[in-house]
Amino acid sequence: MSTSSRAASAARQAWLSALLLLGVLAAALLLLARAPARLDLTAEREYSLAPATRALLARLEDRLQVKLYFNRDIEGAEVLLPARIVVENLLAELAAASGGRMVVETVDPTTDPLSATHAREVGIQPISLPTGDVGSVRYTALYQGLEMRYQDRGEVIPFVVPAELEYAFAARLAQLLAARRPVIGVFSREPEGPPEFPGMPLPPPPPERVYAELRQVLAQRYGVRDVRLDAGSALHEELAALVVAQPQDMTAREVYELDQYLARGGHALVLLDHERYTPGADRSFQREALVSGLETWLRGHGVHVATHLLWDERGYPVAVAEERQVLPTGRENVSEIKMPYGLWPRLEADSFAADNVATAGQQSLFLFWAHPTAVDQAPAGLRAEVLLRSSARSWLLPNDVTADWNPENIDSLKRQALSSGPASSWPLAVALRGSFPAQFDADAVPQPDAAAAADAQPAPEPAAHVSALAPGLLVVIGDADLFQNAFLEPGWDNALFAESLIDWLAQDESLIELRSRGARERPLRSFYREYVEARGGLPEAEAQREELDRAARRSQLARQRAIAWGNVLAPPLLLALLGLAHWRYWKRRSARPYRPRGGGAA
Amino acid sequence: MKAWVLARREWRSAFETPVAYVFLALFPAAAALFFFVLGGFFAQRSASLRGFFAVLPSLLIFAAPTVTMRLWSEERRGGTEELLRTYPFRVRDLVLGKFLAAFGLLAAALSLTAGVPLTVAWLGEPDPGPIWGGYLASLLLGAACVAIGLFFSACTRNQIVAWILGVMALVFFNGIHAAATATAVPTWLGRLLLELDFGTHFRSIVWGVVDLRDVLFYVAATVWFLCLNGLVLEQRRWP
Repeated sequence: MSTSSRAASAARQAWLSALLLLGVLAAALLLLARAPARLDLTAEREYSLAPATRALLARLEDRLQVKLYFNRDIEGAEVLLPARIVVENLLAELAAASGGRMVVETVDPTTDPLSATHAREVGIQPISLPTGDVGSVRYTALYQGLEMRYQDRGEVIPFVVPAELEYAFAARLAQLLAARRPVIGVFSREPEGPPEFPGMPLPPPPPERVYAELRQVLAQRYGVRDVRLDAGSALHEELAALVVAQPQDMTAREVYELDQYLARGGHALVLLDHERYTPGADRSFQREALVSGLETWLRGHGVHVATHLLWDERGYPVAVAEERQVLPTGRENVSEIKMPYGLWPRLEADSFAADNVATAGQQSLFLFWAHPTAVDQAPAGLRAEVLLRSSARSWLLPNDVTADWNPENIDSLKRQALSSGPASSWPLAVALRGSFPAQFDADAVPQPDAAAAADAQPAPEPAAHVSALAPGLLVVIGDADLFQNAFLEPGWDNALFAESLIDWLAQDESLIELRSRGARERPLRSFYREYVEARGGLPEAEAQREELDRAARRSQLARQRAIAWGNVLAPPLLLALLGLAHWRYWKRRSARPYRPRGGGAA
Repeated sequence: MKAWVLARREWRSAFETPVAYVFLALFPAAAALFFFVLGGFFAQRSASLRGFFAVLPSLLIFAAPTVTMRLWSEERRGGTEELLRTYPFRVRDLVLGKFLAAFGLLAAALSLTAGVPLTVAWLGEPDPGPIWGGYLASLLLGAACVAIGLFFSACTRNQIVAWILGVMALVFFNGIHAAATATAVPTWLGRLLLELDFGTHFRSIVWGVVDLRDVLFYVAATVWFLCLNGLVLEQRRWP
């Protein structure tokens, strides 16, 4: 064999060996994919299955069939591919944690008409996604839903959002494992909703049914039922939680039923207002006074909902005027001028109780004409906690102020608030936990309304009068507007807060922890605040406050710049010093006379 | 052991010129500049280093070929490659020695960025897990980048060409996810490409999840390119 052919043969062998090595490495990666080993280094174990999820999976006694509706080829939505891989990986992890009792199957409704029909039947609808080609627009049906079947029951996640999948999965699994779907009762003075007919689309509710959105939000995971409190029924047995929404002129019997519900260990949310505002012409609001009928009963539990309205400097920015500007191109640009409307407080992360599962994960919330709500002194056996607070720059206004949202009135309200006294942070929602003592004597029980009792089908059994029978939970918010249709768009923070609150009232707390799970807020120290606090806080006088504000901002910016540029310049300076030291060392060493080993002179 | 001897020699020779000092000064300074000054760290008001570790792959794309570009091409251009082969070293030792020297320099540059997490820890309470994960991911990605840069340095006698080829290859490996999610790419190919993307594996570790698959991916990429490097050197010996 010639030298060149030997070399060619050696080269071939070497490249083959390299390819073999690549194959070995790829095989090792594939094997690992089947038996994943991972370490979650995050403090909150954000990327590991929560103990609550594992506990639910451990309760499976039968096979849980999970069907994932995905397009195999996601033409036009390729950017969703990484998110889909996250979903598939999480489902694989859940299946592994179930010890073989959970089976995942993926189907593509775009290529399988039977699957498409079934998906529609169970409530999984495709999203129409516009895909742009040059000169034309096409729409692609995109499926990303999940169906869970366990024994004879089923649950559906219509569209899977990877970041919320674990909570959505666990909440539905909890419902599948429960004997029946938990029911939330809603008590309000709204008109009745339109009757439902199976298979028929629901007609729109009347506009006065202001909590229709809230019912829809809750209906995704609970049965929702309108309840009457005057007919005498076993509410505590039927309901997982009760929402008393904007109570008005409650009768003694209705209050008694609520009292007994809590005394039996019920969980109730009271959304209380002293007035109702309706929008009028020219940025005005009409005020109508409300008497809930609950004030005395609440005071009996130590809860006080003030009649004053809250004015918070962190108000919702409302558009009060328009500014028209002609651009150099001749086009007219219209921009809105906004002012913070302090009667609609915007609560931020620091307003929520950090140690409560229902509020810990909440980032923001809007309230509307809210009232300070506090527990003056909780009765024995009850523990009180504040769930929501206004910002530290809040004041109280009388509840008969003109609430119009034109610039002049907003300015006037602001001046009135500033002159009312020192700013403070006011509690806006409270929770009471423990055994609720009855506030009615056993021998002075209000009788049910005869007509209402006759209406009730079937006629309720008269329940025995009880007091502090089992631990209950009462949440009172001094605002009934925050969960009304106009302010409860799906996905808004108000909707998320409603879900969290109801979950807390109705479910296992570990599931709520799952919802608020995730990286906790890790704020930076505020040089601005440190500067202001070092000078005794912001003064009340506006001119002095603005001056201190400017100085604090300047100081903050200067310190931030010093830190940033210090980090940029420190390594080069350090290296320059090291280089200099190194250079001097070599210079000194080279200047030394040569001494051979063994001690001989040069 | 022989590789270690060679690595020490390379390390020393790197510090005989200002190049190593300039590199060690500029790398952490650039990282801090992109994070604190241009990245709007203070505007985010959060004691998180995700933005910092998001910048590092881009820096490594340019930094790794800078460290490796001269390692083989200089030997070839100066005619010292043949001399090196006369030493009692196997090709494996030569490649490993050069790799350890370059990787050591990169690791030193990374360690000089420690001021950034220390500053953030002074300003707030960052989660330490993702920071350790971030440095582990940077070391693994750095090792793969050095191996790729070293391979292209062995392919040419011109340092600039080696640098350009190295940067192009690293841009490709860090940008595969863009191709994977492009409209023209079928889903099955997209999934495969995402598995090959350096950034996908990097992000997972930076978020604080150390998955053995991600670690092995970088180790495999490093080993594969070091083997290719050895093959190129071996092939050059054949007439």
